[in-house]
Amino acid sequence: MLKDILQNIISKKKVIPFPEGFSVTADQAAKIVDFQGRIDKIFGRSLRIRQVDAGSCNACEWECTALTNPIYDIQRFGIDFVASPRHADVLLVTGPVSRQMELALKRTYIATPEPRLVVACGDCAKDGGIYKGSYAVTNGVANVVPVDCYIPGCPPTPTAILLGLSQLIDRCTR
Amino acid sequence: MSLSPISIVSSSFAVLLLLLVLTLSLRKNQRLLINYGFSLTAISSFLAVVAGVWTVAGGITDQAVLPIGLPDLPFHLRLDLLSGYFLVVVGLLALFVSIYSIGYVKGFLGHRSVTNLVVFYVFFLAGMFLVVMADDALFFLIAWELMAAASYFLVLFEDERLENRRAAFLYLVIAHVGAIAILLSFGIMAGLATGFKGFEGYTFDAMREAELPAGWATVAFLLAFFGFAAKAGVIPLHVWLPEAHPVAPSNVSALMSGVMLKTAIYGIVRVVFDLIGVFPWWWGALVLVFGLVSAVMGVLYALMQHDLKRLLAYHSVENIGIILIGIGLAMIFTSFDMSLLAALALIAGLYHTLNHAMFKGLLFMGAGSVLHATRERNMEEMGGLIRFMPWTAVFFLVGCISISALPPFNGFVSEWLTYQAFLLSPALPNRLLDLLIPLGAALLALTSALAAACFVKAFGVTFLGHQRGHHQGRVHEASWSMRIGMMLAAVTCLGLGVLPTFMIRWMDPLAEELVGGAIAASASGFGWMWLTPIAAERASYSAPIAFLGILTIVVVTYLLLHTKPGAIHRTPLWDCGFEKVTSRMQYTATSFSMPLRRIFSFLFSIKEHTRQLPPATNPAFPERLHYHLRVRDRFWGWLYQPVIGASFWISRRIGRLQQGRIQIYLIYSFVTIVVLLIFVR
Amino acid sequence: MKESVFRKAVSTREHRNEVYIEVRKEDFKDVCAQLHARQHARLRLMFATDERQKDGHFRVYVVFSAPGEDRFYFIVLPLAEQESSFPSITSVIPAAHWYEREISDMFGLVPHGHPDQRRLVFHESFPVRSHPLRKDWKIDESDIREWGEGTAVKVPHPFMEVEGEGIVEIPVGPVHAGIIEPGHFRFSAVGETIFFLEPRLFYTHKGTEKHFETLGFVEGIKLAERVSGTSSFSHGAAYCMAVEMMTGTEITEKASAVRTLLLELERLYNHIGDIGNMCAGTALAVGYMKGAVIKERLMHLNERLTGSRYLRGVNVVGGVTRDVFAHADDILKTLDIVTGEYKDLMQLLLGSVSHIERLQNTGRLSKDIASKLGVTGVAARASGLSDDIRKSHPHLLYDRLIFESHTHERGDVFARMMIRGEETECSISMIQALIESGYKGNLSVPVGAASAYSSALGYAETPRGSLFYWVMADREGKPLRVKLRSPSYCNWPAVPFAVHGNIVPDFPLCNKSFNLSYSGTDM
Repeated sequence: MLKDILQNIISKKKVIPFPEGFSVTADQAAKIVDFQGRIDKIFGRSLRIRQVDAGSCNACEWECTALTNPIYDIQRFGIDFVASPRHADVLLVTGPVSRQMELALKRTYIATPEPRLVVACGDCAKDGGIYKGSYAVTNGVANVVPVDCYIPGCPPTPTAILLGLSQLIDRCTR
Repeated sequence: MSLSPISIVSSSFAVLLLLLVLTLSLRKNQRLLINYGFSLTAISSFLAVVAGVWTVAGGITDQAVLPIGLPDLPFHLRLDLLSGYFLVVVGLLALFVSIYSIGYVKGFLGHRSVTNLVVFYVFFLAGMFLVVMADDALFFLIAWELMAAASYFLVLFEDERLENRRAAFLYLVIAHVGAIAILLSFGIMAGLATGFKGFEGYTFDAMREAELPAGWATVAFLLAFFGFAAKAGVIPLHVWLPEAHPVAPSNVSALMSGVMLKTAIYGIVRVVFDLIGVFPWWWGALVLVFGLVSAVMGVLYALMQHDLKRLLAYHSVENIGIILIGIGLAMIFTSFDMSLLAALALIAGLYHTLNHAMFKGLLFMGAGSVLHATRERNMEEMGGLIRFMPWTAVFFLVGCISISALPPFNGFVSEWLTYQAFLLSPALPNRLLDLLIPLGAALLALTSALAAACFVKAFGVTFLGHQRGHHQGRVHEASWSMRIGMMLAAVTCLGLGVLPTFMIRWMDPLAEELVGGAIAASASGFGWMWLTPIAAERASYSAPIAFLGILTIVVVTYLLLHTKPGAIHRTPLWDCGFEKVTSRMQYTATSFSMPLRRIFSFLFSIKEHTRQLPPATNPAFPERLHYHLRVRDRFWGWLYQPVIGASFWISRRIGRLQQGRIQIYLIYSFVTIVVLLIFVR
Repeated sequence: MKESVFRKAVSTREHRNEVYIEVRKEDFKDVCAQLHARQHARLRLMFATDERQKDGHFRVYVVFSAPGEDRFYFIVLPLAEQESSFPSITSVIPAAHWYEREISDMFGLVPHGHPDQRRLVFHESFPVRSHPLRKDWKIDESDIREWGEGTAVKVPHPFMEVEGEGIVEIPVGPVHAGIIEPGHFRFSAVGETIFFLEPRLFYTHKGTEKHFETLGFVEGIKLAERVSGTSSFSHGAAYCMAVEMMTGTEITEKASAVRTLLLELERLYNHIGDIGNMCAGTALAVGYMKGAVIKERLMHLNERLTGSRYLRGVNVVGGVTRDVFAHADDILKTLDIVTGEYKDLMQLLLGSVSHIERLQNTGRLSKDIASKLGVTGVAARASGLSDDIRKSHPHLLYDRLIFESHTHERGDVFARMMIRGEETECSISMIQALIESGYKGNLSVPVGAASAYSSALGYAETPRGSLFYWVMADREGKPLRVKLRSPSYCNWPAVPFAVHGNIVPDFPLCNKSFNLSYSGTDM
């Protein structure tokens, strides 16, 4: 690690090591590495995410939490989860949006300052997933608030969420 | 009669007399009575202020012997620098409060007759003016009693409430216990002045000239300090204060808290520095310790209150403590012949006396406006008042900042001077004092911080947020005269805070006369902009620059935010996605003080419990829960309950003498005569 | 003693370890009270069914199990179609209070005499007289839109207001500050001290039980795995067990072994994660991160073994899809590393006085309240109640394994952490013991059709406590009713009692020490 730090200082380049367990292909790694530069350009160094559970089974939440552990360490890309939608650039919504969460989700969306992006994370968030057709769900985030990006998976792995966010930034660049 | 301070004071009294006569004819037209009555007291107070300012500025001492009084014991009047200064303190607040009263007292119209209020208000003012000008023990005590009796009736103004009657009685008892002590003290001094031969010693002049033996001097001082402390509300003699001040009409509370307590400060200064003159260091230490205890405990008790006026009353205890700290320090330094530091400490104490009169008067007037508008003293029922009474809120905020000792207002200057007196004090030739003085500085710092916390609570809970109570719709802004009264006090707070060098230059002769030191030259050695007590290299404060700096920041921020369209964006509160937010979700006063209540719990007697109503059969499903908290003054249990118990016990024992049989009473008379014959012969 | 219960029975029926005792309405409360008081039988679950297509009756089932006996007593109360209420047993068995309110919401059968007649599952804007688990229920489009908008108050839900001066209500949620599930908490506090807490849950209500009925028994496993994320495998296993019992399918020894192993692996990653998470509540970041790393290591193992980080897709009705014993070496190697890291972590935590002091005496749940409210799992064991369905109703291979069910007496956050620690070590040794022997049989066996109106109970000990699935087939062998009761459903009502008298900043810590699932509760 000391070598990495030294190298960083000398070359003024950011070396992002991928610890054991952070399984990415070389292609994906390349995408993630210049991720930070792109966030820098658009959001001024940091991307702040408010996670909203709109009726998920809690697996997606744990994967988001896992992103902050020392293996994925999402903060080093300039991304972090914040406590209030007031501080957020991105709403990351999980779950099929239960009817009883619909209003809270809308209120959270309104409370997020513009420009704001919405990511629907997980299969349920896309179209209701296994819960599709139940009387108590709205079959997907898009039926409640406008969605900018979907991340598939049940639950999507931490790497998948990271790549999804990378794609979201890509779309903003274009 | 040529124009002199004493003639102006005379005209001031003439105005009061005129008013008393007018009252007789005006009492049928109450509205007119209020208008004329309080206008005339305002004029009278203004004349007193003029006389006082002139006296102090001119260094004039004037004496007069009145043609009235007892046979051979005429009343003496003296207007010297100390009297002049306190005339200004009393007169200035009385002026503002009188203007305020024109609007405030009209609130009673239609409910009850205000004739009593006006008459006793006049007597109250006259009593206070006379106390600071009396130049003999007899006249002083008569004026003192006039003041006490008038204020007793003012506390009793709304006498249909048991609470008021009890408070007034408690006040009367403690005031008289104090008066007896003062009487005894004067008796000792007067007696020793003539060697217990004749009554000529009753004038203050005689007492000044007399050289008291150290032992008797100490007894006289202790009695006087006890008596004046009871009036000033020094802990542990403070219990009447939080009872009596809240129940009096608010204009009266403003005067009682703002200036009546100061007559006791006057008394202490008069007795110690003027009448006795020479004293050992430990007198000062005693005053300092009582000052520190009153300051810290006063503010801690204040923090626990949620009755706005009670909270302010406890803050008077705190501020009297701060004033006594200054005076105690001045006494210590005088006894060690450090006249420069003594002058600094005395000026700090006296400056704070004036400042406290201004901001406490202002705060009580503000509380009175709130009470007037909401009929509510309980802060837990208020909230959001700034929207309905913006003027009152702003003036009250000025009072809060002043009393919290924050620049650029006046409280900061006098407390800063008190700190300087602490910090500049050199090593004293006494170990105990060397320990006490740094400790005192630390306690004063603690006091100021707690006071700031308390007023964040008082202002925040009362004026900010949403309405909690059921007084919607009734709330209205204070009337014009009330606003003018408050505004004048607020402007004075600012003026005293921004221009301290002028004040100190004006007060300097007073300090020179009492302790023989002068600090005006060094304090304004760098021009009027810089306050540099003692030495510029040790400490300096520029009030005008601080004020301009704060003003600039406020103005620039306002311009930056409010001139750009869209810079301020109003959105609904972020409520965690839960839309039903109610006014019960605001922090309460009780909640605000909870951490301090827990830390200092040993100082209070706290009873706190939650009950299930009705006692639930199944604890898992409470039907109704009730929370109850009671915080009481520990001194009730420590000091007053035993005294009350003892007096009842003694009364019962003495009651046995009353057999109701004529023979026994005849025996009593006979024994008395025999005893008298033996001793008096 | 049991005789008196059986004497009052209208009819009795036995199926494996389940005894169904049908009683009259007037005897219902007495029978339940007797079982509870004299037999110390624990209320396991309570639910209603709409069996009108069978014999025109609704039925209320109350399930008890007595200590020291591997039997479940189902007290069954049939209610004719026109009846709209049943006698509430909450006054004698407080643990029944949520179940009864839920029955009221879902079936419109009102618990007569219940102290709290407010809705439980549905919030204010859900239409009146609308009960989703009735077979003839339909909801119209405008009603469902108003429900989602959430602004039309159809049945008010007043929170309890603590009377007296100085109380401040702190509303928190449903959208919280952390990355957690939604729920609303209403604290009545004075300053920092909490005097009363009323949680309002069911924000994530997704109509799961109703949805099971539309999916069919075989497809249902996918839904069961998605009821509660971190207990996916337990839910799958309990659901499969219920369906297998109902259809009379005997799974192979091999499948049992795989299920047992993965149940313990699930417990392991949850417990270690939870121990680490409690550090987040005391701001001990290093402990939190260490816990997260160990958990992540186990999640990787999960992925290598089953292709899912949450062990999804392994359970199927009739067995399992993967033979995890093929990866025995990988498991043992990972467990070795995890054991070492776990010991480091515990050493760190127990050595951090500031951490331990925050945990001790915080969030105490008394044994009395815990047993009255029917608390289960870690929370129950930390309060001195021995409650472990692996011991009391041995299933899968648990009767062959040697393990201890730990209990603590103090009931505070520290006790709950220690219970998790002890069970972590226990699970590691159980997995190691399971790998030592070989198992016979195929991975799965074919499943027969369910006979008309047959029913069965399935259960598992999740990391949070006991989990039950009860399934019943209709005339065609399709699901008539799937009742699931997650452990969080029992434990949520106890959280306010643990929190009372604590300070507001300790609430997250208490909450983390219970680590309850909202989704599992809300269904």
